[in-house]
Parts: sequence; structure tokens; C-alpha cells
Amino acid sequence: MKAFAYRWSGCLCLLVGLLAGRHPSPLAAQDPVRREELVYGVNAYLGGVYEGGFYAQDQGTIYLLADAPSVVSLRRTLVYFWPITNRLVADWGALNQQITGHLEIRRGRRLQASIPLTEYVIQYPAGRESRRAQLHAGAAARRQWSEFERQRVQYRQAVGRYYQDLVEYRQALDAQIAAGELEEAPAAPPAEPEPFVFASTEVNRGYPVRLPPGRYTIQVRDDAGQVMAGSRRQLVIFAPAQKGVAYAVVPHDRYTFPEASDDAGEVIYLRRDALTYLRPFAQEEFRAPYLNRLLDSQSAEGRFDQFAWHQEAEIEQGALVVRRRGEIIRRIERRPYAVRQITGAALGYEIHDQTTTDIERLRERRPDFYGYRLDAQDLPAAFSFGLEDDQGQLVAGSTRRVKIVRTDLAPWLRALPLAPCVAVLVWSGVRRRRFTRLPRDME
Amino acid sequence: MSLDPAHLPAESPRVARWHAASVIWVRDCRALLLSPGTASVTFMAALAAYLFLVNYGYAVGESGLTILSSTFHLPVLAFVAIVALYLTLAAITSLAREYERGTLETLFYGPIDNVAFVAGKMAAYACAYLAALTLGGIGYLLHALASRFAFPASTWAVIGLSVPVTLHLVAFGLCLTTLSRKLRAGLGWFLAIAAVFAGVQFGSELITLVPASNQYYNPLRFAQQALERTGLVLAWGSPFGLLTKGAEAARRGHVGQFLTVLGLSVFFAAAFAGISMRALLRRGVRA
Repeated sequence: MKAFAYRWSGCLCLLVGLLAGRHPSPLAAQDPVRREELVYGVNAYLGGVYEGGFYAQDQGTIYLLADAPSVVSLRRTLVYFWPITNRLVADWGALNQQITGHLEIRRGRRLQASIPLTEYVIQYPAGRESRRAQLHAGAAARRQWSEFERQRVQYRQAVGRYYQDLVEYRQALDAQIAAGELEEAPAAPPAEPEPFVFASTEVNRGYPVRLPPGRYTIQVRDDAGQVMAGSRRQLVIFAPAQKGVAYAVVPHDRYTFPEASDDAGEVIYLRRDALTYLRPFAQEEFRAPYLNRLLDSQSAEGRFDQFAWHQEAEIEQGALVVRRRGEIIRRIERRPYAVRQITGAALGYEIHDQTTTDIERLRERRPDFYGYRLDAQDLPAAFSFGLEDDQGQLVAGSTRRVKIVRTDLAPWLRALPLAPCVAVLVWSGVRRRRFTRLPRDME
Repeated sequence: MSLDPAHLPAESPRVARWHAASVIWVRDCRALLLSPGTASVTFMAALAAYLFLVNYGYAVGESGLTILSSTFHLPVLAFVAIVALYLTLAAITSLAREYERGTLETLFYGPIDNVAFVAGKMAAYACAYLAALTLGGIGYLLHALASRFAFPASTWAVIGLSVPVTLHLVAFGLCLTTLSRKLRAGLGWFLAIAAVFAGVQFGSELITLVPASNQYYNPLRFAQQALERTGLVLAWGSPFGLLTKGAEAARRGHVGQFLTVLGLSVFFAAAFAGISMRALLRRGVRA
């Protein structure tokens, strides 16, 4: 009993000690130093979407895509360095003051344009996933914002009606069941409204910029006609080096780990029993540092002599044409597929044709993806494929070579490539031994 | 070869120089081709390249699907790097020994001049490299045929480009040796310059791994950018930088860029060979 009392009193002391020791650390209250800066907020167009970002005072060059509408705006805000992510961060909540005036764009010394501060709105009528952004500037911005508001209200009303109808439907059903009047299958429940995917920014103000490729200088002249100190920046407008088609190659049993083929020079190597599904995407190739800095103004990655592909929207039209020695041997249509997770110890995925499968009511589900089925067992050892558009024209950059690799080589055949070097090495060793060793009688 | 002028054939200076260069070429070529060292290094280079190819084969076998842009580029680059470095070190060593042992001085008492000597040496190393490349190339083709890996035209272009690139490196080694005239100095300079090139090339990437220590501005950002820009410039003078650029141009089908890289490699090889000839003339043949 005494030992029990000692033990409990010890635990109590420890708990009190721990609670007493809990006090806020002075380090936890540390705040990074914030500096007031003139920064450029940027909504840069790239591949059907707008990438938002800001360029701090010490970032002298802004990167934008050529012949596409992007928006820049000069703002005064607080900037601080956040060592955990090694990045400069803007504290928009503390200060977000827009600088009004005109944006002057110069090429060399020549004034190319003087753009007034304009209202704009960025919208995705089919959702951001669709990668079909629309920029409306000027009077159209308010109009399109009103249209977005109207559709949003309409959707809200439709959802309200739907839930009301659903309640009434259930009440009617319950009443029928209670009265014993339900003899046949009940009437279909009310249809749920289509999801609201329309996305829009609020009406903002900025300088819409649409320029041909080149190097420019920008600065903001305020309403008094004075150039804002610290507003001058270099502007690099760049165009894609080439356009092409990227393929996501989805193995039948690894839906979550597709391989990517970006370049038309790439070769897809398959095992003879491989079954894959191809999903084509439009893509553009840019100089790596330009693309990286457009996507992230603080990126230091990428060398000027390196290029990088940027994947855009999925290509939803056309057929896949398989060729061998220039001759078309098969035409594969785009079909919907459903993915089923394998239960049990195996764990994994398998892909089924949505239109023909009878497994687990997969046919009633929305397709998980659309693609082109490529079964290596039905195809020759070497062939190529390309994407044909609705007019029967081959889409540029969509051709890929495919090779079925022999994976069951005999060991001697595997070592064959080294045979010439081994033969020379042996010959060289034997020769050296013969010439460097004296005959036994001369030793 | 007799030193008696009466026994010398009555040849024009150009023919005599050609003859002298061919003698040097045959001598060095025999030494290189019959050396077990060359055979061993060629085997090791082929083995390094082969490991990449075997790895690709396993990747397809295991996963059923592998996408490669240029299957043979990386193996070829590995092969070229090993053989070219070996030949350069061999060139530095053999020339420095000729200086230090006095055989170079003896040679130059005969009908050999600086141009014939350097041209003969370059031709010998070119032949040795071509022989190694032939062995490696036969191996690649056999592998491509057996496993069905694609051997595209761009790979042939890279193999072709590797010849002037290797000569560029060998000529650079010869140049350093003719300027220093000592084995240790020649090797030391070569390794130091190679370390600088490698440091600049990989330094900017290593700096990104260092955590930032400043509250407001990352002090290493400038160093990273400086190294990156220096690397961009140096890549146009480095043999392996040029080879990588050429391989990328070949892969992308940029004929103009490929020819530029090819021209630069030939230019650098000729320029370093020219400096070596000049150094032999100016600084003499004694150690």
C-alpha cells in the first residue's frame, strides 16, 4: 500500500513538473523581417490556364508567353524571406496597394505601347480542368462577371429546387409505402443538376499585355505623368520552340503509374505480353529557364540551352493509326475505360472497356478515362503509331516508334556484345605473355 | 633510319614531312594498339556501356514498358568518356616521357619537325580511338540485333562526333605537355583543369542543396547563378560539354547546331595541335 502511494505521488509530481515546464518558447514568436516593395503581380497565360505569381523588387525580368493575353499589375506590398521554403513571400493581407497609371512598354528606346489600367476577369466556363481560360478586359469584364453571377445564382436555385423535390419525392414514397399502395417499382427520383464547374476570378484591375516574341522594358507612369521609381523591369516574351503531342502510356495493371512520352524521337519498348492504353495531350516545348520562371518567378532551374515540354489539354478527337514500314496495319478508336481496383492480397488495378464490360456494374459509372488500347500481342515486333485528326491528317509530333523487346535472351546471347572486346583483351594478354617471358632455357 | 644525308631520299620537304609523320604515326599506333592497357580500358568502357544496356533490358522485362529517347546515347557517352580520358592520359605520359628521357631531342636530330611529330601523334591516337570505337560499335550493334533495341541514325551521328571530341581532348593534353615539358606538371595541369570544369558544371547543382542562412536573401543565390552562367560558357569549350550538346542536337534533329558543335570540336583539336607545334618550336625539345 505504501509502495502504491509512493508510485502515485511520484507520477503526480512528474505531471505537475511537466505542466509547469510548458511555457511558450521565445523562438516560436519570431517573425521574419518584412520590407515594403513595389512588386509586379502577374497572371501569365500558359497552355489554356493562367498562372498567378509575383515578381519582387530584385527580380528584374518578367517572363510571359508570346501572342497570348497575360495581365501584369504593379502593387505595393510587404515582402519577406521565408527560410523554411527558401523563398520570398508577399504578405498581401498586410498591404496590397495597387499603383494606378499607364504601363509603358518599350523595345529598345521606342515606345511600343502605353496601356491604361483596365478591369479584367479570368474565367473557365468549362472548369479549370478543361484548360480553356478566357480573359475578358474592359467593359466585357463586368458583363462576363454578371453572366457568371447569373449562372451561379441559377445553379444555386436549381440545387435548392432539387433538394426540395427530393424531400417531396421521399415523403410521397413514404406515404405510398405506409398506405400499402406501392405495388410496382417507384417513380424515378428527381435528377440532380449538373455540377457547377464555371470558375471565375473577381473583377480585378491590371494591364493586359499581348506581345510578339522579344525583349522589352516596362515601367509604370503614374497619373501625374511621372515614372514610378522601382517600376522598371525587363520583359522577356517567348514563343514555343515547337508543338507536339505527349502520350500518357498507362499499363493495364498500373493505372496509377503511367509512363510519359514527350518527344517524337522517343521509342516505346514493350514486353510481348504488355497491354497499354495511350492518352494523348497537346504540348509545347520551351526553353527550360523561360518556362520555369513563368511557372515560378523565383525558380533558378534550367539552363538556356535546355528545353522542356509543357503538357496542356487532352486531345479528344481523332484515331490512332498503327503503321509498319509506312503501311497502315491498324486503326484504333478512342474508347471509354473503367478502372477497377483489385481487392484481396494482390492489390492493383485492371482496366476494362466501359462499353462492353459486365463486371461490378462498371458500365453504369462515368468512364475513368478515354484512351487508345495497344495490345503488343496482336502487333508486329516493330511498328510506329500516330494520331490522325478528324480530317484524316497526321497530327504533328504525334508519331512514336514501338519495339517489342526480347526479354528471354539466352545468357550467351546476352554476353555477345562484349565478345569482341574480350577477344582483343585475351589476345593482347597472350601476346604480352609470349613476348615478355623468356624461354625456360634462357632464364 | 640513317642519319647520313647521302642515304636520305631526295624528297620534297612536304613528302619528307609526310614520311616522318607516318613513321611517328606507325610507331605510336603500334604501341597503343598492342598495349594491354588499351585493350583493358576498351573492355572496361564497353562493360560500362553494356551495364546501361543490360539495365534497359531488365527494365522492360520487369515492368513490361520502358520509354527511352536515345537508348544508345548514354552508353556511347560513357564509352567515349572512359576511352578519351585514357588516350589523353596516355598522350600526356608518352610525350612527357619522351621529353624527360631525351628521346624527343634525339628524334628531332633526324628528319622530323614539330608539325610532323604532332600530326603523327594525333593520327596515331585517332587510329587507336577508331579501333576501340569499332570494337565497342560491333558490341552495340550485336546488342541491338539480339534484343531489338533501336539504333537510330542520331546515334551514328554521336559516334561520328566522338572522334573530333576525343582528338580535341588528346590535343589539349599534348598542348599542356608541350607547354610544361614535365610529366607531373602536364598531368597536374590536366587534372586541375578537368576538376575546374567538373566543379563549375556540378557546383551550381550542389549549391542548391545548401540550406539558406540569411533571413531576407539567400546569399548563395548569386554564387549559384554565377556558376551556372560560367558553366554555360565553359560548356562551349569542354569536349564532353560539346559531345553532350551534339548528342542533344542529334536527338532533336537540329542539323545546324550539330554541325556547329562538330566544327567547334575540329577547330579546338586543330587549335590545340597548332599550339603544341608552336610550343615544340619555341620552347625546344629538352625537358
